[in-house]
Amino acid sequence: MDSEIEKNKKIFFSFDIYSEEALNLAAYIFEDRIKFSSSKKDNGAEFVFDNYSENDIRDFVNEALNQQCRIDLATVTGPLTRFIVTKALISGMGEGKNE
Amino acid sequence: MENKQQNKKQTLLFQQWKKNKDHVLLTNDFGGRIELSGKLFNELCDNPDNIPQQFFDNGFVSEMLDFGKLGLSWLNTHCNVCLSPTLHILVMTARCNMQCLYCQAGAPGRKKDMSLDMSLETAKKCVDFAFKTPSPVLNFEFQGGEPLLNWNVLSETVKYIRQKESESDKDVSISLISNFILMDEEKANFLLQNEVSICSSLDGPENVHKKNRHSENDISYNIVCKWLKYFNQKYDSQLGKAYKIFRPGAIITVTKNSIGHAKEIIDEYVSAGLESLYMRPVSQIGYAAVNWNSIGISPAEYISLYKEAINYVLTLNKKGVSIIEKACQIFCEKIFNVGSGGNYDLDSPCGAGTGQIAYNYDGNIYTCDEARMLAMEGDDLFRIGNVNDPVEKVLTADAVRACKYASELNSQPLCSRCAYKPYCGICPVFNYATQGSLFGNMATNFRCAVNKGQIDFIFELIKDKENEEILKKWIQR
Repeated sequence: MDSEIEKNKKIFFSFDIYSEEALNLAAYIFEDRIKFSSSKKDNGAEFVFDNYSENDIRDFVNEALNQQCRIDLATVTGPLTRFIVTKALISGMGEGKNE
Repeated sequence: MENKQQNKKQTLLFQQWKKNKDHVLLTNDFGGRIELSGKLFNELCDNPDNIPQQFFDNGFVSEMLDFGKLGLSWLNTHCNVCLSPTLHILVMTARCNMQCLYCQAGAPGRKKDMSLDMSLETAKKCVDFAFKTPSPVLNFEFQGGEPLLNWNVLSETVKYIRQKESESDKDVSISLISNFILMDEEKANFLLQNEVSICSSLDGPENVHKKNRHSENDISYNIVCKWLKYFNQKYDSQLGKAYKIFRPGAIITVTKNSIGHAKEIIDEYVSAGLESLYMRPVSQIGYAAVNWNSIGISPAEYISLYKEAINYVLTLNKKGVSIIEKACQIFCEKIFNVGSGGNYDLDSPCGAGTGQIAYNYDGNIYTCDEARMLAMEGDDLFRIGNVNDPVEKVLTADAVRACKYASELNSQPLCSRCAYKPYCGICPVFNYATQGSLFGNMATNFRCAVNKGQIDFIFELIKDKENEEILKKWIQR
């Protein structure tokens, strides 16, 4: 993998694929690791990365995709997850043992 | 996929599958498991006219589901969904008399600061808190640092637990994790008489153990071996005793220093008289992250060593030597017995805050021991309260809820359709420490790669009937 330091690398994320929420979550995770700025442009967001390696930027893009997949998945499995988590929390409190 | 059988529309439920060379493994959330040839899988996908009986029996046909039976199976495999905390980890001190290269407890270099010891007052409050939680079963685990550095408080706490137990209807067990450097006959007798089970760390043969686990004058290896043998002898000669003595246990942390020593590690355990070993790779958190270049191991390196170790254990088993590996045993329990395996990390959701809680020396409570270790690094994200707080408030703290959501595998992109989902679990604290978020990113997650590698290997092993029979016997122990 290429790990050369690059300057002012620009990456455009289309809102057709990536939601603002997914990009914000990825940005939050990487805010201590990569220096970048972002701005809305056309139907998407442009991220400008400053002085970081290609590997870091690839990880960021990977994380944005991971977050978007998670958000998309939650629309399908969200109710099941909420049910299981609620059951776990109720059991943790010692209730519902006889169900 | 639809099938006309007995004039009824039938749909094959292929929830999760994995292609493995010329075979396909199908699993479902009820613990159902079918391995079939790629040819048959393709035929069923294209034309599901003649569905084999095992698909009906294992919950793979949507119109023929026995919800009562499948519901029970689901609960058996998801123990954290119906538990309240059973494991209560008490950190007697954050001090340690060793300086292990991979310490996650934040203990190295903290030998003399007595303010890092748990007071007896705090220890009693921890015990009181645990007894107020609803679980009928409580396991107290003394950890550190090195817990024997705070022996007076530890021994008084053991007495207090036994006194509380006699006044309650809870089933209580106590365990101690120690490096044995401060162990002596008097302490050992006290622990045995109070039915405290003992566990230590033995990283393999002397040269490997010494490289990983630094102690003054390099005495650790000899001391661990001496006391493991001592407790083993006590276990073997317990007949007629008024109290129960447990066989001692030990865990191995696999680092770069372990590579090439798989067989020697197993031999070391056999010669120490141990009948089980628990292998786990070093985690890139805590002090280990600082030393990662010298001790770090990749998932591929770990799996390669793990395969060599398990193959050797099976060879010894075939020769009549009684020894098992616990990580493999846990996965086998889940695969063959459709059980939980009893491991909070390998469950969905994980047991943070609902299966286990950890009490730091200062009385602060965390979702699990990993979370407490992270706090020693200065990050209190997973703190869920204090021993002075009401139990209800602690057990429903934000961090508990966040851990539940983050570790529920149906909400994880790569896990929700993974064939190994019924056998696996993720750790939000590990994800946060290594990848920056509780959810993590399974595509590049260390533990995901290790778990997949281990389960791949087990499915490879059980293609051999003799291996399968041996591994099934491991579960019965």
